[in-house]
Amino acid sequence: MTNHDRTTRFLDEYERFKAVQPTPDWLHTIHESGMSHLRSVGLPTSKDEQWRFTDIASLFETSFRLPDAGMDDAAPTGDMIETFGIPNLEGHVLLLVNGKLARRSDSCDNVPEGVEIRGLAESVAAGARVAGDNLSRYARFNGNPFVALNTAFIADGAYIRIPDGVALDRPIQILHVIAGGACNIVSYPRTLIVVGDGSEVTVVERYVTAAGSQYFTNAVGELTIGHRSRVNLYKLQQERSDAFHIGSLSAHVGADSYFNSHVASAGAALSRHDIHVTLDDERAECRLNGLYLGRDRQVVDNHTRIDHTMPNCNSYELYKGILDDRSRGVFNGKIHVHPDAQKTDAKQTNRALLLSDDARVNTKPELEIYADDVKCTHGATIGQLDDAAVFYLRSRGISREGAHAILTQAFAGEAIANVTVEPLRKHMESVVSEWLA
Amino acid sequence: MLEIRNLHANVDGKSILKGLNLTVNKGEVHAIMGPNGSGKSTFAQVLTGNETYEAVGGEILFQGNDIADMDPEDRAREGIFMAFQYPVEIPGVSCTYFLKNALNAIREHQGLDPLDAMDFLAMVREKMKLLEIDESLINRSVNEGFSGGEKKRNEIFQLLVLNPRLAILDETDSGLDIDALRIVASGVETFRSSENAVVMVTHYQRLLNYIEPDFVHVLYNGRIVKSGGKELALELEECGYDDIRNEADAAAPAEAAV
Repeated sequence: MTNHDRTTRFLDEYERFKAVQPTPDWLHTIHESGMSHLRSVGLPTSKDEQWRFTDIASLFETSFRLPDAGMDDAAPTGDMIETFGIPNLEGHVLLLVNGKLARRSDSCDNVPEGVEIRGLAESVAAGARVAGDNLSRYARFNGNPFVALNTAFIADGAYIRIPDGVALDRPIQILHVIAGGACNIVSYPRTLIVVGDGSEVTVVERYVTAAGSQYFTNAVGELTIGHRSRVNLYKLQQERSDAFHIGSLSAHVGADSYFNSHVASAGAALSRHDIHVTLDDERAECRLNGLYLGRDRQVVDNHTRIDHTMPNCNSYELYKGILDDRSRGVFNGKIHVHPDAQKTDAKQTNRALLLSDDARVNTKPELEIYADDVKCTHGATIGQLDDAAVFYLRSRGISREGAHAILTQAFAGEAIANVTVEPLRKHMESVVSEWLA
Repeated sequence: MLEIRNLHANVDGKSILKGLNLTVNKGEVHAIMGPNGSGKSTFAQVLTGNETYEAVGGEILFQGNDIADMDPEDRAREGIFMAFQYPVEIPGVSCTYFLKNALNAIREHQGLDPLDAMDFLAMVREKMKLLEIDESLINRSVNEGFSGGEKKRNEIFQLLVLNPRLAILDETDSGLDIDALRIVASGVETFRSSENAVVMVTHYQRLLNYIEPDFVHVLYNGRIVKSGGKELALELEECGYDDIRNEADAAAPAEAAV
């Protein structure tokens, strides 16, 4: 199948989409910008440098369609929040089913003045200016046609706005649930988070499957943070084992602000997570953590890019992967230090643990440095479990399997240890232990 | 308790133990001494079941059963414990979690119920006190960032918690200052009873001032070439291994040429 044919399927779907979706002009312009980018570059192949190690050919073996109107209404959304919410995580919940807002917890309305926790479509319909001003402003298409694809199909998703001087004490959960029927559906959830000055918020996005056939999630998130704010964003990708997940996040971090991202990826046949952080102003800091688990023939790809544009900004990055069977991991970490970004401190680490001889990981740090007074380090290790440690545990009576599990869990633990939201950390630990069991 | 007959073992295809014989009865403490490269550590590792060390001949009978082909965890469950010369650092695994898993694996093998958290903690605290180990250790990762002395003390701490039948101490005295040596020795003395046995592998006589052995053996070139009481250790301390080397080489000239 040629690159053109691949893209055409999605273009045809666009005509259908346009026909049924009532859209204000400004949003229509955004759709068109995504579509015209897609028409000119097409969807990537492994000839594209950014997709060299992640072959997405299997994505085109199935025709994915937008969910039919009414299909998501039929799904019993009542107990989905209970079923798919992180256990014991108190807070506000947005439930999206097949990419569309299905429910909001009542607490979403019980928030400080100016805080908005809503569906994107309802915000657009209500003419929310902040949403309109920020949508598609940060998620650039460059190098990632899937951002353009999502943009062409923006219909719904989550919109969160935290005005100046608000520290939201409880986290916000965005539950992305797929509940399809016999039809192979594609969803394009869009998340927009706008945080003002001197504010604080924690957002947890979880991607899970309720029912249905093989599907494709193409998610895009945009986040803009003002000055002196703190934002934690957790992403848990736990889609069913034959699903496709291609997601991307663009974050802009203002002066004296802190952005903490955590991507945990355990599900889907093929998943790709792009994160692009721009440290926009002085003394901004970001921390990117990742944990990816692969087995069978799963492919999991993490691409990160951090732009240091101003002086005195820090970025710390720790990604850890555990790959078993014939699974495949990709890590690509780019750090771009612009000429003005003196006194940059950037540290990047990627460690992968291979549990089988057939598992593979491709890891590539990319440092582009155009300032002269900076500290940038990167390190990558790929290895097996330490034989000496396995023997040490076994010599104390612990079985071989037990020793492997303990050491693997400990390896993952480093990437989870700094999750400060306790129910979430517990959940992530249980995801790892269940994965190992 | 332990009977080793004509044990041969290789490391990376190279013959290290070349017909070692040793009998250890319960209640006894044996010291295995010998010059560098004589096979002392290999002996300790082979007894513990380290797969890098290949037992290629002979028998290792532990409580009447040949354990030469047994996995290390099964040997541990049967009651064999080695205090490592170089304890392994295991980041991310807390001492408590590790010890609880180990102890309960051994208890399960013995047909006992797992120890509950309270009883386990109480028992662990008591042993830590004996070894003058700070309580914060139980929440730290196994051996990670421990000083040499702390690592050795942690080994003896594990010995007391797991309470095996046979303790093999591999160069436990190396790298210890006098205070740490005294603490470690008193831990071993606490363990010592008429029901279990200790095999100490050591290079120096120093440790034997603190833990008095019933028997001293000299290992040279993969065999025990001389055995005696504790006075043998003093003799070695004074005269070194040269005499024993010469005697042994004279008795087996072909071997010495290898």
